[in-house]
Order: sequence, then structure tokens, then C-alpha cells
Amino acid sequence: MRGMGAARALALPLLRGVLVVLVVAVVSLVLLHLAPGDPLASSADDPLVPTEARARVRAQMGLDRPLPAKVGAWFAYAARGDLGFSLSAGMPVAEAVAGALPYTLRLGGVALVLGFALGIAVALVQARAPESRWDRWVGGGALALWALPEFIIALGLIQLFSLRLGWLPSSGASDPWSTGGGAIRWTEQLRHLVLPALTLALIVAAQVSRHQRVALREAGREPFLRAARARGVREGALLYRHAGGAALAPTIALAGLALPALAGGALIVEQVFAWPGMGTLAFKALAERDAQLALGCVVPMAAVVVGGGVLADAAHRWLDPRRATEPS
Amino acid sequence: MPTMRRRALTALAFSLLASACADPSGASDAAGGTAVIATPADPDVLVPALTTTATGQAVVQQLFDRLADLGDDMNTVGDRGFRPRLARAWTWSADSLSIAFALDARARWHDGRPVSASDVRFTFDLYRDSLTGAPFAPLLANIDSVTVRDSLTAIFWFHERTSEQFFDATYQMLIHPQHLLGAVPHDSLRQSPFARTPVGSGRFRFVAWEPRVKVVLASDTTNYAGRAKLDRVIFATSSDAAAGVNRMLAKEADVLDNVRPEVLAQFAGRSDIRTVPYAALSFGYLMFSLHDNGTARPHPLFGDRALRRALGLALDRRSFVRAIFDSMATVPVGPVPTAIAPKDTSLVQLPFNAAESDRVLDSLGWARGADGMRARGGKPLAFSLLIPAPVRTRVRYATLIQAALKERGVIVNIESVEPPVFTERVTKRAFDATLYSVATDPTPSTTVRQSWGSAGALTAGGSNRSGYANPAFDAVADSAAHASDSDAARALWTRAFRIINDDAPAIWLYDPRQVLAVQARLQPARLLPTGWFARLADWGIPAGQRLPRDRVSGAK
Repeated sequence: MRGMGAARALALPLLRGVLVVLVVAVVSLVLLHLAPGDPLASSADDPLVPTEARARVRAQMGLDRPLPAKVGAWFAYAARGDLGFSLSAGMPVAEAVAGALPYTLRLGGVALVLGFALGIAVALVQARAPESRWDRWVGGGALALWALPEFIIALGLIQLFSLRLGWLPSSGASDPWSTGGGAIRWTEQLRHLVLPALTLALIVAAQVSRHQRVALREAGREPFLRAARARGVREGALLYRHAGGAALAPTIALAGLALPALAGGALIVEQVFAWPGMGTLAFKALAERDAQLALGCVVPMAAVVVGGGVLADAAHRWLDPRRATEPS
Repeated sequence: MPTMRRRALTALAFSLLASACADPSGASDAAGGTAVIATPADPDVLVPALTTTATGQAVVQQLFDRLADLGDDMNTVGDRGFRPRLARAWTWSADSLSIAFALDARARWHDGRPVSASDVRFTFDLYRDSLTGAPFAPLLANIDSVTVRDSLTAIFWFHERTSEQFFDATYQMLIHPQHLLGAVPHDSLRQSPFARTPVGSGRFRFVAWEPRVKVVLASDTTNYAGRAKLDRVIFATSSDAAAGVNRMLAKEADVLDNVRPEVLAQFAGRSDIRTVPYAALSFGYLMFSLHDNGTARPHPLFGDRALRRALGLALDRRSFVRAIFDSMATVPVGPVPTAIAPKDTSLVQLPFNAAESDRVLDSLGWARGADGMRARGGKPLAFSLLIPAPVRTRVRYATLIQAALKERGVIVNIESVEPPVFTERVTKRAFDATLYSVATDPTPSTTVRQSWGSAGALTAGGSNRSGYANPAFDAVADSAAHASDSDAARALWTRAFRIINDDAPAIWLYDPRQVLAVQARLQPARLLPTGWFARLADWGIPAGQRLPRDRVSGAK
């Protein structure tokens, strides 16, 4: 029965999420149509390219259609799984997105896990000696990291680990010259993942550590913790087992909120590290006014963000029985 | 910063000397090695008839062949200096209205099929078919048709005799395989599998294209024109300019083109990176819109030739070049890059003469007010200068022009917009003045007539964005394009450039030398103005300087 209830509790937010993604698609279509700029800029800028050639490509790509026709055509084709052809990527949009999405999920996934692990660990260490010098220094450091733009952290890491120490590659998702497979390929890809993932993870960790520290302090004031302390439970066990568990629920909810920030951060970090994911693809689409490709990037990213939010909310309910009875 | 730039330029001078003294023979003769080229973007499409981007051109020119290549002297008149490629020889008809090209019988497509005269005819028909949408098809307008005499002889038939018939037939087209593309509808070429997995006849063959990551080419070891010296060439995409520089500094890339002056300092003093300057076919200018917002009405300011000239006189172009490029650029003498400008010392553009500029502006009724700024009939002498936001050279030029004209009492409002918006505005002629930069063909005949000829002046989206029209200029430029020999062509182009310089629809500002950064282990071949990559198949890496990654061979 609890399983059925959980499914029902998940279904409604998911339906709402689908609606949000559809609205995002329509709004994006309208904004991209209204945005100034020539999608054929790279060829239109060449005086050798004649007007007729540009007009033909414009017609072929449906760039000369009015907005309602564009919106209608996009939904009609999207319903059949066809997201159109990207002029700037030179391939079907679905193919371009399918190629880029795994890179971003890999980067975002590792950054999220690493960021949460680091953030929670730092908060636990801070909570052991609240208001100490160590607590204040670490808290200040986390705040500074949170305030720093991603590209500054990225450039700092590249300068140190790639250009000075030569330990890690400066960009890309693999060595361009690589032909190896198996473990060699895997190791090489891991080396390329370290710096971009660390950049994003540091920002996530800063955010998580601050939330987790506050949650731990609040949990410390709960009656069940005072009771446990009165029963003689050791401070370490109190912190890690009892307070840590109670403080985890709001932090899990934070994972849902971290996804949009992570997607936004990926846009910058992927550019700096020449990481071939959705951020690079979206940047190219916007820079070249490629509306088909831009939509192809916006919709799956919106779906990931909305889906992540729904799942985080569900996880929060599951971890915190007090919220299970709240309407979704 | 000036010290840094001087250091960079000194290093550049030494590297230039070193590359000039380098022995191109010796240890580098043995083939092998991998060159990783950091590129700012993926190719757009790998069908030569369709590609317009620099990376697309760099890749397809390794994979496909022309009938003949331009010589080192860049001559485009007649056939002097052209080097045989797919065509091993050619014969002119007695009336000079046709040329028969005899193909090299050893030439093969990378799938093993022989290259035939039918492929040449197919290629011409492909370029000319409006369904294809080949960007450069109009440049083939003087070719009436291509016929096949036998499997190895293709004949080009021309409408009229011009000095550049041979150039038209050979430079604009890379030959495409009919057996692979014959069945593809011409309006679907861009979406065809061939566009992503091309098969050519060049000294490199296609291996793989991983979008946003790399394009891999390998030496075609049995190629009729000889094996490429490198085993592999990898075009690695770094969409962020700084990422490309970092790749060079971290030795993850071997070649980086278009190194900006501000980046040169980062390569200065490094023995492992050489910076090699080369002349390129691009230049920049201040362009006035001669018509009001794309209409037939004259522009309220720049419809006046005298005013345009007065503004030209106010700009010290030499000091601008020194401030922005140091010694890495020159001031063009006309509407073409210096590499293809007539070598006539009497050809000059408007001089810098601030006093004369003031005198002309006064005489036109633009009087200085109490604040030193000029006005006429209560209207200030002010205009907007449109520039693409992220292009640093043009941003800096805009600032210098703004300051220089302010001294003459002219208000310049800099309007900085994103590149796609910039292109849209310029194409629609929705600007007062703009800082524009173009890459040209190796001959004035095409770009100059398209950019400044009356034919494209007022047509919607026409290539003449300033709206300049002067029948005298058109007549002399047409005569130059049809001149029978290079001396006559040079003299006529000089006359045409004098006319346009006097009319001042634009002020020619800079002709930068491009800089290529190369890891020292690479030995580049000659860098041509038509593209640094034109002789990539002749680049080498001496056996003793190869890295582990150089020993992985993709050649076959």
C-alpha cells in the first residue's frame, strides 16, 4: 500500500514536470524567434556567398517561416522523435544531443556526488568543534569558494595542475591522439574528468557544507538528541549516527536545487575545458542562433532539472516521514 | 604590457629567422608522426561544395584535390605557375575558349575507384545546380559547361575569354566522386552520410569525426601525388580560445592558428613553441553606409563624398596599426589585402591630414560649438559605429577612431553587438558606419567586384554592403578582370583602386600578418596566404623528435 501511495505521490509532480518542460519549449521557441541575429552568420558574413545561396539554405531549413508555423512544425516533428537538423552542428539535432548528453551527465554526476561527499564531510568536521577557529576558517573558505565564478576556479586549477605541475590534461574529454581501448582509455578519460569535475564539485561542496552545517546544528537541538546524550551516547556517535541522519534530509532536497546551478555551471566549465557536452553544444547553438539545436539542448536539460527536483523531493519525503503526509 | 609585447615580437623575429634557416631535408624525410591542430570549431560539413568555415576548408583541402594548385607566386592570370594536381597536363584551344585537362591516370579515390573525367563534369554540375546551394557557384559563371572526351580528359568550355579562366576552372572547385554522390539529391547533400564520412582523392584520407572533439585524418600511403609526410593529422576542437592556448602550452596540441597579439606574450621565451607569421588574405576597414538604412535615399551624412573624405583624412592609420599590431600589420593601399594589391608605389589612399580634415569639415558647414563639437543647422555631427562585441581588434580600433574623431569635433557612438546580430545588421545595411573585416580570394576580380561593384549595391542582401556605386569604377574593374596579361591587369586595378580611394566609401585600416604557433618538433612547409594548411601534407616531424603519440600510425 505504501508503494502505491509513493507511486501516486510521484505521478502528479512528474505530470507537472512534463507540463513545465512543454512550457519551457514553447517559451524558448518564441524567444529564439524574437532574438536578433542571423543563423547563417558564418556564411552571410562572406561577401563571396551570393544572396540566392543564402536564401536557398534559409528555405531548406525553414528559417523563413512565421513563428506559429515554426512552433507547430517543431511539436509535430518532435512528437515523432525528430528534433530537426542543426545547421551549425551539421547533423540531426537528436544525434548531436545524444552525443553530448552522456558527457554532461558524466561530468554533472561525478561533480554532484563528489560535491556532496566533500560538502557533508567538511560540515561534519566543522560540527565537531563549532565556533572554533577551524570552524570559522573552513566556513570562510567555503563562502569564498561559493562566491567565486566557476571560470576563475577552472583557470586556477588548469594553471596549477596542467601548466605548472603537468599532472593533468588542460582540456577535452580524452587525448585527441588516443587509439587505446579498455583500461587505458578508461584511465585517460578519468584524468580528463578530474579538473572539470573538481571545479563544479568545489562549488557544490561549498554550498552543501554551509547547508549541512546549519542542519547539523539544528538537529543538535532536537529532543531525541538531548535524550541520547543523557543516555550517555558518545559525542562522535551522536554526531555521525543521530544528528547526521536527521540533517541529511534537507541536504538531499538541496540536490534538486543544485541541478539548475550545476547545469548553468556546466555551460561555463565545459567551455573553459573544451568538454564536448551539452554546455558546449548550447553555447554553440546560441552563439550561432541555431534555434533547432538550442531547443534540442534546452528541452533535455529542462527535463533533467525538473526530473531531478521531483526525485529529490520524493527522496526527502521518504527520508523524513513527517513530510510524507503533506500534499504534493 | 608593451614590454611583454616587445618580448613576444622579439621571440617571433628569432623564430622567423630560425624557420627560414631550417633545413627542410635531413632527418625529417622519413614519414611519420601525428600533428594535433587546435581548432576553434568543428567543420560545418565535409562536402567541399558546401563548406564555408575555416575548419571545414582546412579539412576538405586535405581530403580532396583541385585539378591544379596555385603556385607560390599566387599568380591567377593565365596558367603560369599553376602546379599539376589531378590534372597532369592541360591544353588550350586555339580560340582560348576551352581548356582540355588530362587527368593523372594514377589518381584514385580513397575507396580504390579511379578518378575520371566524369567526376570532373559531375563536380561542375553539382556546384552549378542551384539546388545544391554551393556558396561559391557564382564564381563559376564564366564556365559554360564541362564535357568528357574520354575517361581521363575533361574539357572546360567558357563563355568569354578572360585573364582568369584557368583560375576559375581550377581554384574554386575540389573534385567530388560521382560514384558516391551521383544518387544523392543535391538539396540533401548536407544531410547525407557522405557529409560526415567523406571519401576523397587527396594525400590524407578521412578516418573519423567525433563531434565537438576531433576530426582524424591519416596519410593515404599509396596516393598518386605521394604519401603525406605525417601519419596522422587531428583537428581537435577547442571552442574556447583560451582552451586552445592552454592546449599549446600543455603540449596537448601541436598547432594553433590565428594567434592574437595579446597571446604572443604567453609563447615568448619558450623554446618548445615557435610562432610563425605569414601573410593572409584578410584585411579590415571602416565602412560607411552610403544609403539611409538600406533604402535608395542617400545617407544623411555619408551620402556626402566630401564628408567621408574629411573623416578619412582625420584618421592616422599608421599610428593605429602600431598601437594595436606593433609591426604585425600594415595599412592597405586599397580594397584588397597587401598580398594581392598592385605593386605600384604611386597607389596610396587618403593621407592623414588633420588640418585638411578640419578645413573640409568647416567648408561643409559643420562648425565647432562652445564644447568643441561640430554641428550644422542645430544637428550635431554624430554617427554610430557598429562593431562585433567580442572581436578585440575591432573594439580597440573603434576606441581609437572615436578618440581621433572627437578631436575633429565629431561624435562617434560605439555600438557593440553580438556577431550574429552584427552580421544581420550589416547584411540589411542597418548601420551608419561599421568596422568590417573580410577574407578574400587570391585575386581582386571576385571580392572587389562583389563588395564594391554597383550590381550588388542595392539588391536585398547583396554583397556590396556600403551601397557604393560608381560606373567609372565598375568599368575599370571589369576591364581589369578581363585583361589579357598580368601587367595590364595590374595597371587597371591600380586605376580602379584610385577611383574608390578618392570616393572613400571605406577607409582601409589594417592588413594583419597572421601568426601560427607550432610545437618546435614540427617542421612546417611553406605557409600560403590562401591558407596555412594548403601544404599540410608536406609538414614533417624528424624521427628523433617524435613523441609516443607520434608512433601510433593510422596510415594505410
